[in-house]
Amino acid sequence: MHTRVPPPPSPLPRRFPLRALPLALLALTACGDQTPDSGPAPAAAAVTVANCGHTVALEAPPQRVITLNQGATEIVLALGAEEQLVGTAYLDDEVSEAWADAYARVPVLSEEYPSREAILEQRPDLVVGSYASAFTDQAAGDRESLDGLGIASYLSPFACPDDADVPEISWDTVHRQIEELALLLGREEEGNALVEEQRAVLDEIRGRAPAEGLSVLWWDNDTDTPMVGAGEGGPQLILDALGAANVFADLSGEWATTSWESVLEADPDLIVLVDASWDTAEEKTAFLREDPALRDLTAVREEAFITVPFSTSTPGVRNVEAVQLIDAQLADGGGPR
Amino acid sequence: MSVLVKARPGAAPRLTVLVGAAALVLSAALGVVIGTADLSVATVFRAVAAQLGAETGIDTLTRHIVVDLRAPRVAAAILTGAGLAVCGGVLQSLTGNPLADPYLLGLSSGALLGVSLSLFFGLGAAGVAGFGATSVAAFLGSLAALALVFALASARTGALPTSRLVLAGIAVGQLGSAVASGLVLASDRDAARRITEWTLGSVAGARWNSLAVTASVVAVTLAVVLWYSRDLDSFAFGERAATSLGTDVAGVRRVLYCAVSLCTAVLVAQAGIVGFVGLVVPHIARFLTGAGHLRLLPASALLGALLLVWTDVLCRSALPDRELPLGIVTAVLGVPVFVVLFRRRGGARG
Amino acid sequence: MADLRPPEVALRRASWTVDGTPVLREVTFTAPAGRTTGLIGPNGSGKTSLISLLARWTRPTSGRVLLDGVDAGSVPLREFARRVAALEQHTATELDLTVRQVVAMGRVPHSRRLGFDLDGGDDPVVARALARVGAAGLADRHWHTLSGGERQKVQVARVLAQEPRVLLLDELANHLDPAAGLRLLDLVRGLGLTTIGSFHDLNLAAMFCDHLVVLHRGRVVAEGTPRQVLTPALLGEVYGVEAVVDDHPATGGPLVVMCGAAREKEEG
Repeated sequence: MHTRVPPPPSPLPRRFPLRALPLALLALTACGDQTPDSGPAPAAAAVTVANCGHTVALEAPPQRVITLNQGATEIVLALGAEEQLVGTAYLDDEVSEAWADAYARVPVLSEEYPSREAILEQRPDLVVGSYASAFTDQAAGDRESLDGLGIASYLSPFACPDDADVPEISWDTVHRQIEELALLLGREEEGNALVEEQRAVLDEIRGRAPAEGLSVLWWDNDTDTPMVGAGEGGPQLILDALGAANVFADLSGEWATTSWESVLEADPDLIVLVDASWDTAEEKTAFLREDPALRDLTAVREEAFITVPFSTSTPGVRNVEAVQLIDAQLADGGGPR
Repeated sequence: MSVLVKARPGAAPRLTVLVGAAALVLSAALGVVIGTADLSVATVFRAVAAQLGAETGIDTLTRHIVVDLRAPRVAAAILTGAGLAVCGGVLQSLTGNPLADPYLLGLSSGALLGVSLSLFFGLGAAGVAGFGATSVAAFLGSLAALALVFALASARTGALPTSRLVLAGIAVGQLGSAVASGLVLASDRDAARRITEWTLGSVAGARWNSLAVTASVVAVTLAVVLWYSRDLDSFAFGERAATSLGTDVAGVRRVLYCAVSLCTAVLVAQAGIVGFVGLVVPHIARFLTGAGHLRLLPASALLGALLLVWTDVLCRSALPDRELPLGIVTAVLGVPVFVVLFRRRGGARG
Repeated sequence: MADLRPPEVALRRASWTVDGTPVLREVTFTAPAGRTTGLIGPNGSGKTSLISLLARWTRPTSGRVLLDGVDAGSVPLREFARRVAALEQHTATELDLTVRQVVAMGRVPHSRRLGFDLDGGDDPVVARALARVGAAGLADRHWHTLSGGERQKVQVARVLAQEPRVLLLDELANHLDPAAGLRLLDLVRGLGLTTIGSFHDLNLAAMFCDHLVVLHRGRVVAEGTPRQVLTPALLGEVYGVEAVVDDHPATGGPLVVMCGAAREKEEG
């Protein structure tokens, strides 16, 4: 197993001594009066957001936010709200370079999920999670009980426990998640700017359609029965923006388990390799080159491999980054000859 | 053989129960004090006093941690440990099989299937009586498995022969696990993670309102099995010997299988699957008190409760700020004990 | 309350069928009160099944078991257990029990709910039963450490602790050393209870039984004193052996001496 180097330890003390809390809280409220250095003062209006059959209500922009899972952490960092964070936890891989410095300034509560007590000890006013598992008893606990303690919570709409609440994955819904969090954090302007910027990037690339006419396999992980990007998830969204044709666009769901036979039959022009700590792009390339059947695939023979980090493929703020990465690698001659 | 077993019967078991009860009270108190959040004994006392209406100046969050998080999970550990140990002990006696555990009749696989189905199909988050959606799914799944096992095992005469029950339990168990494994494979990463997490057990989700249900069920079950302790004693040499001692074997089995299985289903809803407690604790208890169920069952309950209270303390304090699943720790603690016990007994049999 | 005299035990046209195959067919016999009755017959003739019916381990498909003329099936099971004690041919347990605990189990039918303490062990009846079979010294031993003979002795003590009026014994002396077997049978005979036992060894049956019932293919083919029942003709028919029946030099009862297998007769 390859394990990524864990994120740099935070310079702040990991454990927040509870006995010192009254003092710390005093200090915090004092800080709250001075506006954070970056951007304008957060709007003070009360906001409500409907989220997974839940209503998130905040009287004022939260100042003690905890993010669980990489996606949640990155959206908050992308909104420039690191000053509002008191802790993050559970990365899938590495935080995007764009926010690495900001990330390093926020305490990491735990490598995976912190326990409920560890979370409560931070006295958060908002807990944001990307996956439903963030709100189980082994992590932050269920959202109702957090409500009972006056702690607001936001779960990525794509991870709502009730399938009925899960929106279709599109650039609109991906951006809506950013806008909703921006609203909750009192950073609507930053949110709007971010979404505008992403739309502009997308429009430009869509206009060029750099992968027009290419059939693409999006290989997520697993060598026996490959897990591939299917027709209803982040991979499809990204490939659409590039004008590429996903060879498994017909499969339902975000990802799907398929067979190498189907891959051989499809014989894609290009293979997108997902780089994840549990299954690196390097291992994937080696496997494809050595497998007696797969090495005859057009894409393998022509070395038409493109690598993207796993965290850019789940619906969130980094999908655009994946589009840009693939675009850049194609321009670099990473595509088929 | 051990000194404990050779000790005069009568004196040692009573002492065991007394010492056990005292240890449990102390452990429960310590269980509330020890945890991730660094709370002093005084803070815990003030939090409890605040809950009782006293003016102690303790803030809401600390009170919540003590009163709504730690205390219920200690209570849940006590109930789960006691319940599983008693159910395991009763099933071992009823089937004459020292390897029987509370999940013998396919309950864990049924519950696993229920949980997998609910997470796979994303069936919302509605709960009942303080139990979350996952717990409800687990309970319904284990009941379904139980009904299927009883249906498969019952003879035309309505009797439930042990061999058929155990076989039906294995068959239903295998079916449940196979389907559940398929669902886990087909689920997205996060659902798979939650299913796995559930199979390893936890009392972290204990809430007072769900505990009221669990406590009543465990108390009633304990009363029922104690009421039948004499009948269980008569099973030592099998069902025919029990009949000849005046025990209505079929009737006793029906009542006890139902009571024990329902109790286990509720415990599965409360804490997920917690292995080894129901298997190992009765053996340890037998070591301390002898085979008589009138003492064995309360001793098992005490030991099971003690074991899980401390296991849970370990689960929440072994790693900084992280939770370990109960099932892993009970297995790690339980397996060596089990091996030692069986090696000793093997020697005695020579 | 319970009658202290040993009752007469009778079977009236009792049949037992398993999955359509008759195992016992219209069995009728009477075991005289206070005497020892032996069930004999070749393997598979239904001896153990008959003990099962008498012990209420199985229910007859038809017919009745009578205790002093009263249908045994109508007696509550606990009441029945206070009157009738039964011992299986093979006794095994997975539990780690002491001898005293095993014998104490005999007190189950006499104890109240929540009043039975397997480990209490200070019941004088238990101590008396152990002394009676000469196993007082084994009291603190563990069941699993005993030899076959010792186990059987302890089981008899358990049966005695039950203070029954009727004893049902399935092959009590099987697998025992001759001395141990004879001693146990002597002891049982001396109890003065109505005893019904199955026997593999015909001479042992002849020595200890007042009354013999011969089973063949699930039917009673002869009943009476050993002298009346054990004839060369019957032995030839039921066991398929050529045998001489002589007088036992010590007891004066019949003594069966096998001479060889009877000539094969085609079954009709």
